Amino acid sequence: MNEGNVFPVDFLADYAATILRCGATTVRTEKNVQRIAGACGYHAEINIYPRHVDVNVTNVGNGKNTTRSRAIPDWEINFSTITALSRLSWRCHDRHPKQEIIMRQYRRIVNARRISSSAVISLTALANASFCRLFGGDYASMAIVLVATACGFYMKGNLCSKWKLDARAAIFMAGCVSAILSCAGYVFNIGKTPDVALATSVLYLVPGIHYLNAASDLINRHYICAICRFIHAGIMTICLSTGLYAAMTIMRIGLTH
Amino acid sequence: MPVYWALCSHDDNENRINTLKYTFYIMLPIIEDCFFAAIAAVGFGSISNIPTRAFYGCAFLAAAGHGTRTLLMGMSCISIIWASLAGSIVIGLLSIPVSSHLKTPAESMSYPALLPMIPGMYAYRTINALLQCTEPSPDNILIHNLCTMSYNGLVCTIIILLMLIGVTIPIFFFDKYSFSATR
Repeated sequence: MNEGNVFPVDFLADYAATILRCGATTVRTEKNVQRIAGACGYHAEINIYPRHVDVNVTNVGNGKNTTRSRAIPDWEINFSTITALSRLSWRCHDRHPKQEIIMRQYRRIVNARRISSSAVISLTALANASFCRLFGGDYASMAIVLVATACGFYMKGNLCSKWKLDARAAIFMAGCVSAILSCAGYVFNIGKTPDVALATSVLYLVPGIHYLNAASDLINRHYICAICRFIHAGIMTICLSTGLYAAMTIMRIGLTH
Repeated sequence: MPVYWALCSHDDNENRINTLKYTFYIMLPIIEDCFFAAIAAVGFGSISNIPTRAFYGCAFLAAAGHGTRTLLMGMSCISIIWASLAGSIVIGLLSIPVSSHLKTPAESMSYPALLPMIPGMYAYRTINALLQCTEPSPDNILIHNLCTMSYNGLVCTIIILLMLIGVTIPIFFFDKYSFSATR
């Protein structure tokens, strides 16, 4: 193994695993990794699997190559990290900084904090209430959806982070709770569009980014990744649909007998 | 008051005011749609932790896309399927210059901006019809529920597929610009 390859291949493998974990498309991952490798005088080939990524780095000068494999942790969509990592790749390409500077910037990007959970809960609840309005819901239904979404989203976050519950079970439970709360329109005769409130109460759980990434991977001819992402998104959709179904059965909504 | 208005007769002025009122009443639902779509996109963007400056782009793209869909469905009586495709293409195309301007990846804004166009009511009706299918009922009601479920499920799936294609194709078509936005 060529020792001179150790920095770029280790760094590039970590970089690829991180950016994929944050929900980057395969085409962006490939371009960014190859851009950084090219800036360091290497050529990189990348194999992306559903749960792993292999990076093969070849020294352009002597032709020696090194390969590293990294496991991709569970997806956690973070476009801020993707943006910062893409910018880092361009900085490497344009300015050729030293290895220590690249590593320092990489660590700072990876350790950056997310938007506060209370802000995310508030914005998500507002978003879902707006969704209700877009589907023709009245203001009473919007208020019901606002509360149901805030409760469901808070519960999902706690189930995943504090209780370490499986994401699919958390989506099922959050969907069920949100749907039950949004049945207030039916139970207490609040508003004129209780059906819209019930329909929109679980839409914040739809894994839209995963579906879009699957379509992007499909166009980029990364069929295995596309199918994997599509199945993952499909399972989450089934979980939230099952939660809605369970809530409707419990609350006897849509049943005549 | 503009000079040409002052020179017009009283009837002309009244006609103009009526035309403005008519245009306002037509545009009001579209403006309302754009406003709520923008709020929805910002909320979904926060779940995906988009960069702070991308929130503006996200709101603008969602308003443009959803406004296009509402306009096409209301004015031209185009079906929701083709109107959603047009809306998603508008989001995909506009995301390229907006991402270059805000120095963020196109997908960080266009993906959350697309989510307010999810056909949620079709998905709900599918689940509702499925629930009613599981109940013991006469054959004609069962067939009606099956048809409702198939129709809504099919429309929902086609809309989502076309939206995915509509927003992704422009990013690949203008890849030189979309992948160098963060430079």
